[in-house]
Amino acid sequence: MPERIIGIDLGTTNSCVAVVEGGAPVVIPNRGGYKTTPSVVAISESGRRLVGHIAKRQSVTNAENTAYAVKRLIGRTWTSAAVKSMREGAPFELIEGPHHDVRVKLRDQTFSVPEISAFILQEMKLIADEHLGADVQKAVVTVPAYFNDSQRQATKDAGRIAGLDVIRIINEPTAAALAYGFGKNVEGKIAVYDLGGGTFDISLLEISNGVFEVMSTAGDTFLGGEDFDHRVLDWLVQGFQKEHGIGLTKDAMAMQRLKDAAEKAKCDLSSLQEVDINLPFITSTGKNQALHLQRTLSRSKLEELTLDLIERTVQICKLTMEDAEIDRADILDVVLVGGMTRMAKVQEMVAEFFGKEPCKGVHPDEVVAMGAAIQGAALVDKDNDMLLLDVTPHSLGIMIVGGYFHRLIERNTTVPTSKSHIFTTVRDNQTSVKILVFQGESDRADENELLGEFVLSGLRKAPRGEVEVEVTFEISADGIVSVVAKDMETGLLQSITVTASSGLTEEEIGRMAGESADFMMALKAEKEAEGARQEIEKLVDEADRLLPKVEVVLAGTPFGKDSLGAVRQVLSDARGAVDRRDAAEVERVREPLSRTVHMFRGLVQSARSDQDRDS
Amino acid sequence: MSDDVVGDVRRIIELGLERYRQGELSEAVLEWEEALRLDATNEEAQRLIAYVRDLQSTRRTTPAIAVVAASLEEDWPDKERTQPEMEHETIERVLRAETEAAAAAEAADDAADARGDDGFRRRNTIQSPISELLAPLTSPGWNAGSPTREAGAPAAPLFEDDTRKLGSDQHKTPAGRVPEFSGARSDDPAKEHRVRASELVDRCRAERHNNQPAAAARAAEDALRESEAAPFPGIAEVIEPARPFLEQVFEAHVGPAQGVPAVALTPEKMAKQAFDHRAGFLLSRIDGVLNIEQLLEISGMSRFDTLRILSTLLRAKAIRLLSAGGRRAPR
Repeated sequence: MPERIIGIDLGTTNSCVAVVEGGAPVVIPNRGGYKTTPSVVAISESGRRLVGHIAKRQSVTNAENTAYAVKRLIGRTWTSAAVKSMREGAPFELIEGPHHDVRVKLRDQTFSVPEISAFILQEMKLIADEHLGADVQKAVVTVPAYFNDSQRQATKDAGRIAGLDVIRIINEPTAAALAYGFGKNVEGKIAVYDLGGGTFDISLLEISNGVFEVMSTAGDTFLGGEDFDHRVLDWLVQGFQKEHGIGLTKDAMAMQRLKDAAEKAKCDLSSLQEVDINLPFITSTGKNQALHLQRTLSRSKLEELTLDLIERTVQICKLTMEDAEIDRADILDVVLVGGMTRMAKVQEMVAEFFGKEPCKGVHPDEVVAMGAAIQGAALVDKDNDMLLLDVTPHSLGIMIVGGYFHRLIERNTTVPTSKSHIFTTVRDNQTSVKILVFQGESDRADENELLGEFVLSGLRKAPRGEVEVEVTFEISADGIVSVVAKDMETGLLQSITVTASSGLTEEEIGRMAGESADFMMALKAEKEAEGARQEIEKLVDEADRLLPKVEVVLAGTPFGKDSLGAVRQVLSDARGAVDRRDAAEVERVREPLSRTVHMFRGLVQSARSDQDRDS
Repeated sequence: MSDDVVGDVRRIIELGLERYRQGELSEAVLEWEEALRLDATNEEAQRLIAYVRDLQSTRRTTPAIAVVAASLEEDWPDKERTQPEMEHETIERVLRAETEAAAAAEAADDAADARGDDGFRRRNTIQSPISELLAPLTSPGWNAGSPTREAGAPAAPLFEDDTRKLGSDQHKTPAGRVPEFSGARSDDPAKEHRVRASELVDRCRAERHNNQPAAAARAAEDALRESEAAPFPGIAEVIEPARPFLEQVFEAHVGPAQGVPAVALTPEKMAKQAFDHRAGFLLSRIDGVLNIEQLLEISGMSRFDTLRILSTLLRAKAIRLLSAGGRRAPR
């Protein structure tokens, strides 16, 4: 049996894990039965780490210690616009890390962003481990198409910290397209409209001969399902204020319930025309009377509240199509991704814009994870002839005169690769050149990401344009970029090696991975101890039930008193061990208790048989 | 004030309470005075000190209490007791009979719980004779020569001697009796609540001892309600020392930490219950998946409050407990 590779959609608000079973991708539900798990991590008052649904269910009442949407921060520097935006809006504290990276402060602990993502990946791994009954080691993880090398590397590092070998990072729209095209022979352009919990992305892909190329991608990293929830929440709060004259916005418990109810109502309205929102005891008045919130939300009201949000997504689609110079008629199919695309109005407006009904053959919440699982399975299946290419997500090049960006390696180029170009000096008697290495798609260098810089000096003094410098870009199979500048006359070389960095050093990643492994060990031990405690409790219950009958059986026998004394001692020890949660003692009493119960069963059974015979 | 200082004050107050529980009243006062040195405005420490000082002055008049105590049982052992001991023993003896009746009722309730019975049953209210018996102790002027006084009570001059030995006869009334017992704090509006809460805490102990978790939890809840209903200065001196015990009582009633609670009432029936917004919040977190331990983590309330609310919801049958494996959890 080939090694199992899981596919993980590490989302901004929700994550999902899938695996290929019996040749088809299946999503693995979590312990609560849900197929998606909130990408939320919290530290409770007792210092316990909470991940997923449990963390989300306390996210308002423990807002300062609950990290969400950290995907917006991963691989970014402290000064980036996205970090600034999060610093202004997020209730949890962000601090600058030692390498100009971002750290998240939850209670008295500070975590790097890859660490927080690792907690989510670890949870997804646990879900898969339980489902498959094995310790899963390898995964394919998806990222947005616009993620740069640092963000991808940070995602890989998160995997390492979580104890996963991320064997491939793939673009989310590519994964969606893979799942969409699974078992089909698709050739042509498709649009992937992805409206998730926190972000919106539109990607245009070309599928040709089994190669999936992202032609254009755009979106809004601060537009998603949560904005829709807020509209409903505001409507509920205002309605309550109007009815009772009581504001609920300062009441964290009420707001947590309203937020949960708003999300649920929004989801229910995808299939129902109207829903009742009932929140009993939402608040108490000064007279110690509890008030209930009861409202009915119709689908049309929800559409009225959120129409402008949907229009924003359509506007982004329009601009992206125009930029890519692709006609709507050329789009073969529109794949919907993200839970928000279940909303009828979203589907209606997407259909209206693209001039065709979107594809409904794939599950919007699961399609990305399924695509990742398909790719994971293909990577280990030697018989699979699916062409899987590791490509550069962005173009690479240098800054040239005028501040322009000169591409040497175009995006989506298969790695490993190498490309050279000869440049000349731009000033008379120029003796040195500064090579600024950038990554991105803008023609203006400063709008792209600076990866590194170096200087090649010792050039011959000559009129401009006479001295030639050859610049060579090389990307290894591991994604390491080397840039070499060579004076063509003297052969003098200067170079730089750019390794994508998540903002963490190798030492830090190793330490975090060690801590994570320790945490998992402790969790496992705790789980085993809890299992043993529950077993002891059950045995004690049974022994308690049987004891009166055993006393009757043993009454009058010469050994009855001593035996019962010993038995009572065993039961007492067992109760004490369970009460004290003493794992070693629980282990010690397990065997004698088990023997006692076994003996009890035998005695009661034999007494019953004797009775039956006598009667 | 920094968090460290707040923490230190809390720790010192707890130390004092521990001393109090050991019967080391003077040492307890010293601890609380230490707490006041760190935080002079700490009302809890002030109240506790005031209470213990009252208690100490009460002990100086122990024979007066013995009058009432002796009247309750003729063979009252001839030894010196502290007021709490005597109150406790008196209550214990009266409670014994009452507890048997209550235990029978609660046992029936617990047994019904164990069978998984749903629905509500009316519970008989047990009429407690305690209030009546303790009335002379707690009402103003209890020792003012009332005709309800027991015939076997020692004569008044005993008091007169004592008060004169202290060098003052200012409390002497024209009738030659001491008008007010300072420990009884007749001007204290929280007095009745204090007595009832003490009774309830004792009842709680008795129920716990009799392995009646539901009945013990009910008594604990009633004691806390007395405390919450008590006017200023409150009855912290009764409730605070008992708080760790009350938490254990709620915990025992709620059951194992791995037990999974599930909502047991329809939304319509639920809305008719007399819960507050905090119970409403906790109910909204209960989904048949999260276990007790997880609820304690996410409730946003203290462990004590969360267990207390869960216990209330259980007693109201608004929730039922499943074990982690779906089996009804042992209670």
